Amino acid sequence: MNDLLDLDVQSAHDLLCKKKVSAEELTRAYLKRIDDVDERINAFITIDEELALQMARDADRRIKQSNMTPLTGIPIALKDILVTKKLRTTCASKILQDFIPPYDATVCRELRDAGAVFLGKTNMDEFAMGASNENSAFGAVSNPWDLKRVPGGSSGGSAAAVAAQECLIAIGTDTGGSIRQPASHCGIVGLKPTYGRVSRFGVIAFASSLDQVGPMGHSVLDCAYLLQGIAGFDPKDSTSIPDAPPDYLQTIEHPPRGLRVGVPKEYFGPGLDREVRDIVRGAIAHLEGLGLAIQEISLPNSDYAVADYYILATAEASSNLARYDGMRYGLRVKEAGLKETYCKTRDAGFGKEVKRRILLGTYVLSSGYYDSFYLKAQKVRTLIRQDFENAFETVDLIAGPVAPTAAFPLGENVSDPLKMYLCDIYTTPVNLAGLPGLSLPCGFDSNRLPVGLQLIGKPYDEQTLLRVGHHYQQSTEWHKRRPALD
Amino acid sequence: MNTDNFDEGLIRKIAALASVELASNELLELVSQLTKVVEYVAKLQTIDTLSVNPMSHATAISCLLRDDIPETSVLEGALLNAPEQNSGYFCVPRIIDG
Repeated sequence: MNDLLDLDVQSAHDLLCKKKVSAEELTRAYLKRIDDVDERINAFITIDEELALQMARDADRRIKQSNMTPLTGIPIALKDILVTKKLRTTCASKILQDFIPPYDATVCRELRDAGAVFLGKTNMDEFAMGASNENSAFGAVSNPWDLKRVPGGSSGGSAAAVAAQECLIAIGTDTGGSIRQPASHCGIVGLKPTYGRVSRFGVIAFASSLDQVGPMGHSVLDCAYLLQGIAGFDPKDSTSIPDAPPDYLQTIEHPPRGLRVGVPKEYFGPGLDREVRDIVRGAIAHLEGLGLAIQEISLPNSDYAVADYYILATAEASSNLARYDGMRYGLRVKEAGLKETYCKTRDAGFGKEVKRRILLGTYVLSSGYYDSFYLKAQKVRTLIRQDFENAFETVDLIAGPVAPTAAFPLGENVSDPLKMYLCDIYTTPVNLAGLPGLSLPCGFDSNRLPVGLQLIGKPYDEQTLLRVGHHYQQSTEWHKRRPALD
Repeated sequence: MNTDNFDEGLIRKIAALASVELASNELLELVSQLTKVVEYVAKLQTIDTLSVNPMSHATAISCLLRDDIPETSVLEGALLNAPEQNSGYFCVPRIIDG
């Protein structure tokens, strides 16, 4: 295995600064890795070698001029939900299979400005709807730890790409767990920032009050570097929080001793795999060994989070996906009349899960059902948020599992949507409340599959999560393990 | 929550509202799958929310405005992926009869 693939952001930056390796060499190493392994994993939908090498050469020019940022020359993979100017963006859907965006998402523009190198666009569940990356029009993604299992979703391609060392870091999005859960299943780190911390301009919308962009990498430190590069106010996103982000790299080294960690009793009830439970409890005990104070807390409305999410997210999705009508961009199935064109286009363009969610969302918003479903769900969202507010009066962060099981076999849950939705039991409350959530590897089960620990923070307090996660990783080795693909 | 009326007829109506055509062989599977999901999400009906305000958003931000300053035309970019275009316009099926 090429040593260049074992670098993290900091060591890659050091080598690039000292000109011991060029951005072009680093990029070529990753492109070769993609060539060697991606046929088995299918983490990428679009790879543009020419673009990647051009960006690498531009980065090398900047390095010569000593005009670098920590992300200059760093090879990065982008979930195919962020629009990239002149580079195909599909959202893993037939309806956008040939779509070439005329502009960059703000996150992509920021990364270009920082001199990062785009390796390609990663596979995902179509329109971010899924927890297994089996709902893609471009084929399922395989988990690098066991190719017969799912990587998780919907940012399965980004997670698998990082785990398989096909990129140094990656960008994902998280609406109900779609960064954290695949990070857990692939043995890497993923962060969902506070809602509004990272711009959603140019992020193809699924559920606008829940979607967030976030970093994915092997280490908390790598994710901190990436978050620093993409967080901040964006006037093009009316939900972007106006406050400037703190310096995450400055506070990450502060010892977490004395911080109070809440462990929700509701997160360790029936439904949680016994091995996952024991591994996560072991990780929490390790935090206690680092000097954090652990206490049991209650989040009484936890049991309603999945139901709440699947009313609100599908309602928002039914509205957001109305734009795919074959008129201005994307697939068009030409019929004589307007309505027929809409219906045939959307039938041909959308996969089964997307259609299911559009139908569910339309139903809960329709006359006669709006009050009892959608309005009710908005009120329950308030209760879920209040649970966290109450808990944060006595603790600084919350710890628990990311997912009820480790990665499951491909095809196991595909024809049972409700079973798939229940995978989101520990992640959806965080999106509903708009809080930051971090997933980091904390062990392996008896099938040698990774298990993740979830840390949930107060609003805008990504710093505390990064501090705790980083110190956890300085005293454990889980994040250093790599799947045997060679 | 009574989901007895969650049948093929209702799903066809919803599909028409959502402008999605469904094949007959899809309908049966959808009735079964969506009934299960709707029964599950209906559990929210058991919660007392009489004195609870609805939450539509994670932040308190609302009604942000920008200055009314014209920006560059996006016409070229807007037409870049048009399925059919003519003289700077999207070509679409007839909307108005006559």
